[in-house]
Amino acid sequence: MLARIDGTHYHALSKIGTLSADVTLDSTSGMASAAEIRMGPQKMKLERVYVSGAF
Amino acid sequence: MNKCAALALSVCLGVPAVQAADSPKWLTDARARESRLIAPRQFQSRDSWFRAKVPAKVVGVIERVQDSYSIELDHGSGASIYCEVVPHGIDMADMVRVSAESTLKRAAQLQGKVEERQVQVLDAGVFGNIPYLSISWMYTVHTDNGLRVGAFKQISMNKGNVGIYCAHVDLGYIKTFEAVTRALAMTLETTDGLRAPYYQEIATVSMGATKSGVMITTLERDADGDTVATQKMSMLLPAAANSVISQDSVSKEWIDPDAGMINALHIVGQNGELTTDLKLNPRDGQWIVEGQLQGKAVSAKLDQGSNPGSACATPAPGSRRRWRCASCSRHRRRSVVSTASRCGRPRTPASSPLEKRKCSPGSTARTITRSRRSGR
Repeated sequence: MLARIDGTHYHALSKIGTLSADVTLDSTSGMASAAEIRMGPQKMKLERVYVSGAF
Repeated sequence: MNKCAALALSVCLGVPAVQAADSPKWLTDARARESRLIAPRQFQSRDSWFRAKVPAKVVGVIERVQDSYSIELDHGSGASIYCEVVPHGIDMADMVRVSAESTLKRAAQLQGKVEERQVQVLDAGVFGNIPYLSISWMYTVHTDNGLRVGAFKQISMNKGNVGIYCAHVDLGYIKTFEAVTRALAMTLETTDGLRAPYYQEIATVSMGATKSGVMITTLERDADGDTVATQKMSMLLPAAANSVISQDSVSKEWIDPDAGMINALHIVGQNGELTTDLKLNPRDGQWIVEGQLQGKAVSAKLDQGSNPGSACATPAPGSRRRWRCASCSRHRRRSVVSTASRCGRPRTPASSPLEKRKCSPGSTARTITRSRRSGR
């Protein structure tokens, strides 16, 4: 966990094997609402656009 | 599976073939065309399995043929929109790729050799809670009358377990196509009902500035009271300006009410070929990964004492050591010592119910199997 962004979001760094991702965590669900993964020269970006239900 | 493309071209062959010239105005005008849509009309399949409401006229009777329903939607221009409703879902990315190839092949047969083809727009997003992938193409064909230009648009969606694919072969009508296909998806109801997961989230996936994929995560409860966590991802990757690579994947975890992993699978298909097919099961006190990876058999035991986490528990706010098993369990709290996952509790494989196999492949594997059988 790197920093608090606002009341419900945190900036974190997530590492799985050789991959690392800049992640925005939503504390309401505990899930990532956005992530940016560097893959060589490319960046893959995930952006949550819909959420429903309780987790 | 690919009835749409053939139907579309056989009916509206001449329409997109506009005389090619260095005339930006005609191209701009052609691409700016839209239909004046009618008030939405309800329609249903002949067997009443599904119904929907669209701002277009449905042509003919809708019958189930080869596991899907084909629909022709007349929106007031010369070329109809053709859609396919697939009861068991589709691999969104591969459906687009395969249908695009079929459309271009059909164009070559009917119109002349396809000289150039180009992806114009690639996009991904949601209509409400319905994820979509869309793409538009332009192509030129060499005919007896010279070089002609054609265009087509495609969109693929999954509403719950029901797949929807639509295509329109013509220049322009971009907003018309979106309005009609959005209405079809949003209003589609089936007699099976659409079981809503108790948790769902959808994310778009971008490579660079282009949204080219969707990722859908759902948590559902099965008849045994266990949770099925499913993550599906569909992506179209431009291989060059004139083609795309499709990738569809599904990961499933079966999780007991105490948030412990029962078993899991991970399947990836690229361009319709199965590249990864792995299962994770506990056996004799150890977790074992078995299956195929890039065409090679894989069998590996996780380290003794390894405890794969599951997708249905999250850290309790304000605590580093206590975790809350979310609504997939009975909201128990427990300490966590494993760092194997973001959310799992430690659990020895031996304490799991052994071989509780629930690994059904889902649409990715089904479609791939079907593709291979048909030699696609």
